[in-house]
Amino acid sequence: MTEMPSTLTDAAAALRAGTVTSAQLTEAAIGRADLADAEVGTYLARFDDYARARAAQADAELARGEDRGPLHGIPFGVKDILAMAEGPTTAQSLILDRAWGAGKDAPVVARLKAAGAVITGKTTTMEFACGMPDETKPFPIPRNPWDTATWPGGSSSGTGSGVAAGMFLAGLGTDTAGSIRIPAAFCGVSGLMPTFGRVPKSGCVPLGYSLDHIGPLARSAEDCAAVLATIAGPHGSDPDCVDAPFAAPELGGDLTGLRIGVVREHHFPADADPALAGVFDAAIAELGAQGAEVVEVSLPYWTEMVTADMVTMGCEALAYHRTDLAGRWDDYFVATRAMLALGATASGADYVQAQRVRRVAQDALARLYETVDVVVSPTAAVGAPAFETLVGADGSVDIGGLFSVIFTPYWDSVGNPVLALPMGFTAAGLPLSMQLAGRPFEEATVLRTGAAFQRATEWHLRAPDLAATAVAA
Amino acid sequence: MSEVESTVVVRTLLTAAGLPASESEVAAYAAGYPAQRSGLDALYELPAARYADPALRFRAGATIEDWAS
Repeated sequence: MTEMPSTLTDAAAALRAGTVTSAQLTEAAIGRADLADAEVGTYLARFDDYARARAAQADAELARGEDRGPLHGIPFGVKDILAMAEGPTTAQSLILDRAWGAGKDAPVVARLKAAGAVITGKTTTMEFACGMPDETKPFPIPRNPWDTATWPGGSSSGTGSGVAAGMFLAGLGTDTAGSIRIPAAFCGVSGLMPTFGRVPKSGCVPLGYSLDHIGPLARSAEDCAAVLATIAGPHGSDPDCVDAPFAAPELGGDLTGLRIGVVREHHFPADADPALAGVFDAAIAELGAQGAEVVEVSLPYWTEMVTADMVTMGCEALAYHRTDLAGRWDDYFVATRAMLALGATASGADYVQAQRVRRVAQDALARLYETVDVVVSPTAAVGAPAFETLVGADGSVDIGGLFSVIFTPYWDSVGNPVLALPMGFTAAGLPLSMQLAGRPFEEATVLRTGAAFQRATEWHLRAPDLAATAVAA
Repeated sequence: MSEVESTVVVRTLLTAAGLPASESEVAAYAAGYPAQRSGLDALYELPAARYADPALRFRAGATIEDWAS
């Protein structure tokens, strides 16, 4: 069987060099799924025959010199809250009407198809992109390929585990409180939450209308840049999506002249993994060695923005789900119910006040970005948590506890672009991650910073032993 | 806020929203409610937000465009 290249970028180069075909890449991806999907729970639906046909088409087009760009012929996963014509969208839920989006492509999916991507299937999520796994419901339990007793992160669980396990070279996730960056962190891959409004989110089952971001998970910053260049750009169906041109940036060179703000406050709790501080310091030292000027900073309105993310998501999501919750309460996952109930225990004024404070925080953050170009912090204080620590016996989720060790919601509230990327491992062999946050619509800066780090390190190229994972099944 | 008060408030709000949570769920949500309420109340205490406009959007004349068209 053909070995899957390490990165999308390597695969794209190999396709054009004629050393591999899309058909071979696709068979390798299918073979990896055959080996480990039953244990890892990456897919809700596989499109093997469709993918083979798309790969054959890509090979024929490339042979004729018809090159659609870096995603042409690349195996690709799509989170199952995005509509795709080849199969129903479930949002990993009994609730969602299977007629929703049937036979249609979300704008981002249409753009992937136009770019020649070979979509291999729809990937697992937490129900409706929130909540936690629920063994009482008839869906796969997403597991972490580094250790299947641990959570792969969510809610873009299958996209993260699929990239880590080599079932595809890149995929789409969504991020409302961290759902791209959390699985990227726990699965040891790169994940980019673009600026709010960079990518059209229509055709995606909503969670938080003013918080939802669609973006890539892949091995490297360079891979994420290639995907973003494909899916970015306005669409008339999404009034939040703006016309801000993005082209895959030049990612070479060192970081001379770049000012990096390092955040430690709130990010090193007492229950942080013992390896975190040393791993993070080494990562910062590497960024400095690349020529960046490193200073310590604090993020304004940290606690308030975490609160704002929760109340905004809870209220916006409850508006979407209230009718179904009232009539079909038990069909929802128990943890989803708990997350959505947050919206019922806040008032309308609370919601509006959260939007006022978001504006204040945006303004304060803009002033911080007058002094630095990129803000760096750990993505989480821990490696992937064991399943038994996630949900209480009564089904309750300690949301406050969860977001005391996962540091993602702040950035959803303010809307800036953030790249999560691997920076080392815990003593137990689980990935640790840092996040690079830039000014709005300056994804190129965080991608260039991430690419420089990844040229000097190889954390992003580490992959779990899939044979061991499969044997454990 | 006492546990009893939290439970009464949470049960009332869930009922008003038509959410048929079980007694154990009401108890679990009530346990987290004081911290949630405290965090929300703190949003009103920020002087910088006293005269801030919210990050909301509304456009006169807007229409709904089919995303699949």
